[in-house]
Amino acid sequence: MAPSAHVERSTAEDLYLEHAFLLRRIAVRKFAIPDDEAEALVHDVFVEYLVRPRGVHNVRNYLIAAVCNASRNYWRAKQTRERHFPSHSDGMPAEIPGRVEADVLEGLSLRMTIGATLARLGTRCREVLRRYYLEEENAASIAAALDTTPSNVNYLMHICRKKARAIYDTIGRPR
Amino acid sequence: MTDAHVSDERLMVLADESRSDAEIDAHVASCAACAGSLDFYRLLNAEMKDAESWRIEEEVRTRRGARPIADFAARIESEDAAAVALVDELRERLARDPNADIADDPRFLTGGVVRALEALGLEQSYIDPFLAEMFARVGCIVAEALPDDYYPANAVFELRGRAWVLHSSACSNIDRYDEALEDADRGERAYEQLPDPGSGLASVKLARALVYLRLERFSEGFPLAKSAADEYERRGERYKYAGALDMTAALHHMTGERAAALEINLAVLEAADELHDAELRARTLHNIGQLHRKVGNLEESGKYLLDALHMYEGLGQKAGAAYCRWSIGVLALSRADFIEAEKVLRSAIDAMREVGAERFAAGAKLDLAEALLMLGRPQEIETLCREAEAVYAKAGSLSGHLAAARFLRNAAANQMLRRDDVEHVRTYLESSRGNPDRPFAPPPRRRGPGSEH
Repeated sequence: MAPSAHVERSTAEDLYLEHAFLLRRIAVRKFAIPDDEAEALVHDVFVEYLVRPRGVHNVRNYLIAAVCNASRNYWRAKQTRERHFPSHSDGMPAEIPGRVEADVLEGLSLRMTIGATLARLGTRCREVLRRYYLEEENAASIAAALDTTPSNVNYLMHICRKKARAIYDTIGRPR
Repeated sequence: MTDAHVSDERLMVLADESRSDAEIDAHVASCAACAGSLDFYRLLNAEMKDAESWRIEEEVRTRRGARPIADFAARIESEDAAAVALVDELRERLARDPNADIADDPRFLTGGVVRALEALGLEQSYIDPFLAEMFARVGCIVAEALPDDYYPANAVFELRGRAWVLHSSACSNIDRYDEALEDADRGERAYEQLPDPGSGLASVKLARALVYLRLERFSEGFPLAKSAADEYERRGERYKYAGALDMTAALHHMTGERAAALEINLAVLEAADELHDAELRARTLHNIGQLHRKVGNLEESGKYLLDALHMYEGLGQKAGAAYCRWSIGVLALSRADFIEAEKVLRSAIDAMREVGAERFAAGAKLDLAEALLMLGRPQEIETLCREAEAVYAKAGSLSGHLAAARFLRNAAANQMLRRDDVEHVRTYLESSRGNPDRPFAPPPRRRGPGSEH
């Protein structure tokens, strides 16, 4: 019997959130697709994936291959249009040499899992961690901004990272 | 340090300060749980210093861009749900009139109906190839009647491509090869409209490879099957990858590269088990059974073929079961069990004709001729060969096969037919695979009765 056709709404949404950033980055960095068009291209790839029957056992590999093909096609179509309607476009850029390296993908996948973990933390936790690690504020400055004490900020730093650990374990390693 | 785990707080301090603590280091070196925790906190610290991690965090939290994808998934789900009742109605109408004009009823013009027809066509492909062709044909009609902008991202062309490829394969299964190639071309044109045509174009290659396999133009089929397998493997489409390997194995098998075919088939058998794909397993058992027969492992061959036959029958796959019976009949010939061979081959021929596989049935008739000759009933061979000739003549491109069948018929009519002649024809048929235009040359003329040894 053929594999069932559709993906449930929530699964589709999760799949998109899990992979969209990576796919956009491949389109932009490897194929020089303009930022504002990369999102539409990744959407197209997902729409096509959702119309296809299931049977893909490594969704990430499938989507990466799909976005690479779609990026090449983007430039082919653009070149064809330019031939018929000449403009001052730069034409198709050279594809950045080399494969999409596995270690780069692995690193980005970890980052995406960490990003998803941070998204699930409460607002206060996110704020404390972002100010401390990204903005490099000290505990006193964060305490002043959040109307609390530096010792409470230090306490929150421990509690929030412990919570992040639990969330990360729930999300698990990327599929 | 005791065996108790190091507290998260101490591990976080260690991760923060990038310093070492001999006591904790000693514990962590022998405790996977604490080592894992320490690694996590170091990774978390490093990632939180990178702005990209926070951009991802924001996208996930705000579910940026995900809503349209979720809405589209919901649309597909609802189309599929609505198609269940519609397709039941469609089947009733087609049962009354197989040529009913479906496209004139807008209720049937949905992507869900195309997908439901596709599922039915696939399901029937080994059960009733004629019915499969009808479902596939109606699927093409509905897919083509949908507007080009039915789905975003040109995705309706994915539906159309799939419909044409399925119809191509359905046509190959009932010996309509010209139509199969035309449909593959239509599928290709549809897939080319997609942002990412790679996977679809691989399926077009496999559809063409199937035609070339059936037409015994193996050298044209090989690169297509190989290229499709590479594409599916690259994409992690294991289900389709196994199908492409299956095609490659079939091509090796038909060109006599049995060791290569056996190796690939064993890999496909593993994949079939992993994927819980009973149809693929039955087909692969059948292939392995045939390969064992050809290298003289008759006992092994029998085991595999019987397993395959039981699976085909269990799955209700009439066509698969008919081909498998033919293989079992040929195995009986190899065992010199001619009574059994006649019985099995006759039932295989009837079953193959029932499912529209006339060319295969013609091939089985030439095998039956050998059984009849060895049973001392050469008078029946003439009729069999005449029937086979008619099929080959209709196929047009098989003039060598036609000449071979005519040679057997004439030899039978003149009461000159010997087992050597049948074996000569069989050798010709085997060697002409991959070169269907190869002319048939009769065996060297015998000097007289008894001189053939």
